[in-house]
Amino acid sequence: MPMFRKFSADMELLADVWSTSAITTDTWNLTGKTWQTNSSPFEVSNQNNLRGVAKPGEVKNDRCLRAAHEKIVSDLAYVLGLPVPPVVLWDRGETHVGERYTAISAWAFPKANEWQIVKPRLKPAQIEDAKLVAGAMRAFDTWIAASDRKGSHVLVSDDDVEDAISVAQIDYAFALSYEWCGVVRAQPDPRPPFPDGIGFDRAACDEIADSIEKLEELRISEVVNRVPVEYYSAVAGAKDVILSQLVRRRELLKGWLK
Amino acid sequence: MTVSRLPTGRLRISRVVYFTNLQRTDTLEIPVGVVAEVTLSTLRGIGTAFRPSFNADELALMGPLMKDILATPSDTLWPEFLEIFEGSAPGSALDLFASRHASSLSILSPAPFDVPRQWLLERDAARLEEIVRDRMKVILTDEYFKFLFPPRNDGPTVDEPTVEEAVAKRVA
Repeated sequence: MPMFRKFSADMELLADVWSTSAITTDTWNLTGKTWQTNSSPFEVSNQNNLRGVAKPGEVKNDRCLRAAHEKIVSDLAYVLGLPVPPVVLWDRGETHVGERYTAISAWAFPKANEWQIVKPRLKPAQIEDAKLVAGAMRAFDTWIAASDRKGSHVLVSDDDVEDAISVAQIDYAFALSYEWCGVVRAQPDPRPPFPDGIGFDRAACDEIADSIEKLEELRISEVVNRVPVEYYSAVAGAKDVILSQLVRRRELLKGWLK
Repeated sequence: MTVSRLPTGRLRISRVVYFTNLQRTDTLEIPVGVVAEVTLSTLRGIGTAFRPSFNADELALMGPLMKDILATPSDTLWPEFLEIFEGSAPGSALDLFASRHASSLSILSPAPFDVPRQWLLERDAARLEEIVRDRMKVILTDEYFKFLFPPRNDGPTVDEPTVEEAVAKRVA
């Protein structure tokens, strides 16, 4: 059975904690670094110098439940053994001016580069390895209706390994209810495989589709219900829609992936 | 009454940094340089000021791939930025470049700068190109040294800033 998630033992320890909790109890401070992408992410660090990327960085009135989406997708990926970094929710408190309900994503690797930078330099064995991830993530991305996949959302560990590849898929703000609650038009299923431009491994795709199909509804609802209701408040009924769509699409997935 | 529209423009500069460890803040962050984009009604341009090299201690903290890329940033990052600039809509090159580098090598959010009034008022295209090029080099060098301040042990140096401009047809 291929291993899609190749995070360090320390990162998996963090994931063990974050994937079973909702709101962080750590003290987080802004480092002052920001990025100019859609969700206006900003860098934070906690009392142990752990670095994270928080979003959204400002109030967005586009009905996209960024923080809830990031958290649910990360927790589902953890259950399935897929390479999405751990995410925890950060309630910045009622006195915070700006977006109060945010999510913090950990960095999967100490050093990483975007897929489009790495791809031209990969060894054949690494491309074969990446196809496994692409296959697995094709099934997952289709299930959760990921609508914003691109090379810059696939990070590759910058290490000395030349016969394998460690990948992390990031930025799932535009998934789940973003399409299902009619914020944008639904994209066709299945979703394209990422990392892109190398094809994908069929067996890996089937394996994860099978795992998703077998995922108990109770487990899915546990993940969705873990997110506090405030994180869904921008879209009426979003939580119920997310849960029902995840259950419904779980059963339709293999048909789309044929 | 005669109403004339004031010419407008935009100048933005981003810092480029290499995070030696993305997961922890108690680790070294290596300044790589600064990148800029200017957008005027008849001219658009980009510029960079990168460190020409890194010392052995800094290189030892980089991943193998990025060590390769940053061996000579002006040979790798400048052509990439230029290609994006040539294929993008006016004013969008810096954002597109930044979206490609947002992990170990990060192009941080751009800071807006006041556009020199002379850039907005100059009507001669050739002259405008010349003054923008000259002033951009000064601004980039200044921002570069601000970024690297206080001086590093190896004594900061800077490549001759590179500025590429594309002059659009003057709107009648």
